[in-house]
Amino acid sequence: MTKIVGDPNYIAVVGPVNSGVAKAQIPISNAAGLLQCSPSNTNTALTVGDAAKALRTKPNNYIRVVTNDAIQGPAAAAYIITVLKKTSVYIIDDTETFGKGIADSFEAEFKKRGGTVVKHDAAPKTTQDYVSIMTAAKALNPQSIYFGGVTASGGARIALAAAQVGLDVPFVGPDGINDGSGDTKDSFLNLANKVAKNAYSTLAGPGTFEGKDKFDADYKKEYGIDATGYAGQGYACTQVVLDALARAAKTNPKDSAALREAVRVAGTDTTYEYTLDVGKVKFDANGDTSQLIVSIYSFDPAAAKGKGDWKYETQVDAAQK
Amino acid sequence: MTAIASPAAQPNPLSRGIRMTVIAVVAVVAYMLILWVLLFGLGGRTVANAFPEALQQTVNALSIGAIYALIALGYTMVYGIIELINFAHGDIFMLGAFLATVFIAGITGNNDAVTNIPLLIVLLLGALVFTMPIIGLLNVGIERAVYRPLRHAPRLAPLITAVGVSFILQNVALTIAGSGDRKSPQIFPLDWTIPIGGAQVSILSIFIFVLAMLLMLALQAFVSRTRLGRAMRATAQDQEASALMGVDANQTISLTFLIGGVLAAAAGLVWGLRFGFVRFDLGFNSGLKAFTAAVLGGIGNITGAVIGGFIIGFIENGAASLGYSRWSEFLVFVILTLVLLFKPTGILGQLTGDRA
Amino acid sequence: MTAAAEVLRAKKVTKRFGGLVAVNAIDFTIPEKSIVSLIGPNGAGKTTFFNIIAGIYDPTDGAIEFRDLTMIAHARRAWMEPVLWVAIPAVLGILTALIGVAGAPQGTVILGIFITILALLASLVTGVARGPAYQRFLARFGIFRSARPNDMVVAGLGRTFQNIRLFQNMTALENVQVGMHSRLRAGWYDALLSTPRNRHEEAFSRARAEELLELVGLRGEGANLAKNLPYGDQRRLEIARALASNPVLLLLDEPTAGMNPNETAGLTALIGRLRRDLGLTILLIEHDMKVVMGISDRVTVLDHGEKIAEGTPEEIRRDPKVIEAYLGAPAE
Repeated sequence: MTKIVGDPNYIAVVGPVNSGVAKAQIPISNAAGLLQCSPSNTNTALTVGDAAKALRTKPNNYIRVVTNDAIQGPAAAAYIITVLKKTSVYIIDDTETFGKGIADSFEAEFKKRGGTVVKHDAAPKTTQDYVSIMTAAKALNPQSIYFGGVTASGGARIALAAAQVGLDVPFVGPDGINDGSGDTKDSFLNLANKVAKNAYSTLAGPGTFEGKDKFDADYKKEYGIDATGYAGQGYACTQVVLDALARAAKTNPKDSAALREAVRVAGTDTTYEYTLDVGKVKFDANGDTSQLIVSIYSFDPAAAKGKGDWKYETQVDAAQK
Repeated sequence: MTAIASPAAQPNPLSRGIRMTVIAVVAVVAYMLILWVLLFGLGGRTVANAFPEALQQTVNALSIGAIYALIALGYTMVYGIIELINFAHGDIFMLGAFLATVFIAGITGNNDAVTNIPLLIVLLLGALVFTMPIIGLLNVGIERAVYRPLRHAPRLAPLITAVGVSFILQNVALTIAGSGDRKSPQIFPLDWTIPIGGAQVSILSIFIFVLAMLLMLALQAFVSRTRLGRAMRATAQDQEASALMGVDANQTISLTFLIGGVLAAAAGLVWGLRFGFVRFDLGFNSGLKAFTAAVLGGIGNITGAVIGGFIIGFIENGAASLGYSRWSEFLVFVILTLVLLFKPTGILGQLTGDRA
Repeated sequence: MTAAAEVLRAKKVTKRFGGLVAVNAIDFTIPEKSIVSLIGPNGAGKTTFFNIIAGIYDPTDGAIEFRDLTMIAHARRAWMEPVLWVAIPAVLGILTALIGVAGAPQGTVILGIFITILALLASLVTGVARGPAYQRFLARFGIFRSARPNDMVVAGLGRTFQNIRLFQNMTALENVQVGMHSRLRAGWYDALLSTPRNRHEEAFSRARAEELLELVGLRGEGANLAKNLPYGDQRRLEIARALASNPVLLLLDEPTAGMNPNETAGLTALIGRLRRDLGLTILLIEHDMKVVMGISDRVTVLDHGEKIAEGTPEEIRRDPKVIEAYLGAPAE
């Protein structure tokens, strides 16, 4: 990032993918006034609260086209109660920032909606024996399981252990387990394939949008792989940057530094409404999107040539509540 | 030097074996009853449904404890004979898990349960016959190539080298298998369970426990009642004196590494069967726990390593049962610290006798 | 005496530790079925010489012939052994890599890798076993390694220690069984499969161990841990353990050290009996002149690493050089 900031030819950045990386990058890009648009950072603390303020020394330069975990976790809770009609849940998180944060916001919403949280346990990713944990979970008779974390921190292992002890209830997780089809190396579905029949995951953005089929087909044609997860959001970010550049150009900046600043100002303009592939979007002063949509995916064992893939189910729009 | 203790070193091995068995059974039952009480006392279960859960958890504890015990034996035997903490041993276990996974996946081709019993038996035996010698010989080769040249170097040199070997093995696995979890075929059908006292005890748990017990009993018999086992104990006590009695120290040390590797390979196989995944850094955590087990039981002491392995398994399981999974590692090390505070040589430390 | 009747010949054996010459160009022979004593003041190099014979130290110069075979000499090109051990698989591996890069079919490359692994395992197994064929193979490259202590035991050497080094946590019987190690053949597979050989050997070794315990006067003590035996019995147990390997030559390092006159007399009688009944040749290091003069056929005197006298006990007693050497440090 320091290298990019130092090169005046860069006028904006699309990315990063991980919230942890964003946390390290924002202070650098912010000091240089370089526009950053992330397609997939969902950590609430990147944009809201004192922690977010501490990352910035200058006016905001960071926007994201996905909504944050404060929306994503509760959306899963709403889905479990209203659509799956399950009134109790066992929550387990991986003790890390993302996993614990989203599990906590899930728990609060689940309780608010009148559901019962039978237990909120936590197991660090170094845990060896998930079978014992799931045995304890089963004894509490939950109607569903919510996992706060990512595949690498135990998502699939917990699903496998739950199957091992015969705990056959919906297994719901955040975007951390929505990481590709059963054909993708290291993905949740690749590892937990045979026990994933009751698995659900969320994405902090619209799972479908006008022209999604065409987008997917074009993506596949261009890159030879299926569009997964936040591919649509990646494109949306590019659209944001190009749009901002077009508007910045109209101000006739005198040099590259002025252009970079003009792009930042245009990009973070809270009054401007973008028309992106994922829909009409505005960004607030924090850089968060106005589109508070979380989409829900279920497991489709027939997809990806029988290897199984996530199938878009529905979306929960927190703005319409 | 540290001795590898064995029942034969006692005047009356049989009665000691019976006594140990009785203590073990009492301890396991006691754990189950305590867990039962804690579950309905603290965990909010009812008296009736806490019992099957306690029973189930005890079975889980025995399974994971057996895996730790198998790994811990490798640490303790190597320490007993050349006073080296073989940090690479956990990674030997990890490679064993990978190799077993490769073997089973190579034959079954997928991740499905095998309900054909003869085929299942062939698969399990095949995996053992395939992985045990390879991993055992790999361990021997590491000793031959890396530790032996450093046999007479200052103690720190082989220790640091062992850490290096650990990193090498981890990176070999990382390069070949990648950084994520790799799925390991769970060939035991999940619905193969035996109802006991309201709990569903899986055949897999029983298999793991029985296999581990058989291997440990075979090891105990080998060490206490055979020529090579005696040579091993003699070398552990006084390498020079045993060399002057005609015992080839190098051969005996190689044999120790072979046995350690073989047991780690068996542990690796059952790991994959139970948890359904293998991963390049698996050896680090499991190795750390198993090493702790060896120290807890009294490092250098075979029986101690087995006892330590089960204790660690029970501590972890207790934490998970009561919903304090995140504290399990903390608890393990608190108990280790407490034991070492009052008994610096570990639980069975006195059996190792002369620490010259 | 003829050459064939000499069990051990030391030829110009020298051992230097850094600048210190511990043993200097010693020529020394032990005739068959004799009792030879090695005496000298403290620091004369007796134990160093003993350890060279036992295979613990390689001599800096000179050689030891044991039963007409050169067993011990300064090691030559020993460093080449591990190189050879790695070289063959490494060459195969590089060849495989080369044909792989050159675009050979995948099957060929996999075969190459397979052969490399086999070669590695083969050299590993032979390297661990170090069998005679392997040693001959090494000799072809001019690699000579002195016999190690366990090789000397196989060749027919038994010894006891100045300060008792029993396996304290094993029973007396087990101690003797360990001594028998090199005379038994059961391998790990015998143990694993519990073959008849294994059971037969176990029974045999127990019976033989009981016999040896009886010979040294420890009948019925077999089940006791070595550390629980009285001091004098521990010395006897060491002798029984040394006898277990059926040695031709027995090295006794101060066997009567720390014993009372009564125990000393008993042990002296035992040593005499060993030669008479078992036909053993015995090399003795001893400070107790009464023992040395009483049972030795020949006595060799070392001082400051040099041999200063050799002969019958009578001759030694009168030798002015010996008297001079012992002036500052009279016989204990």
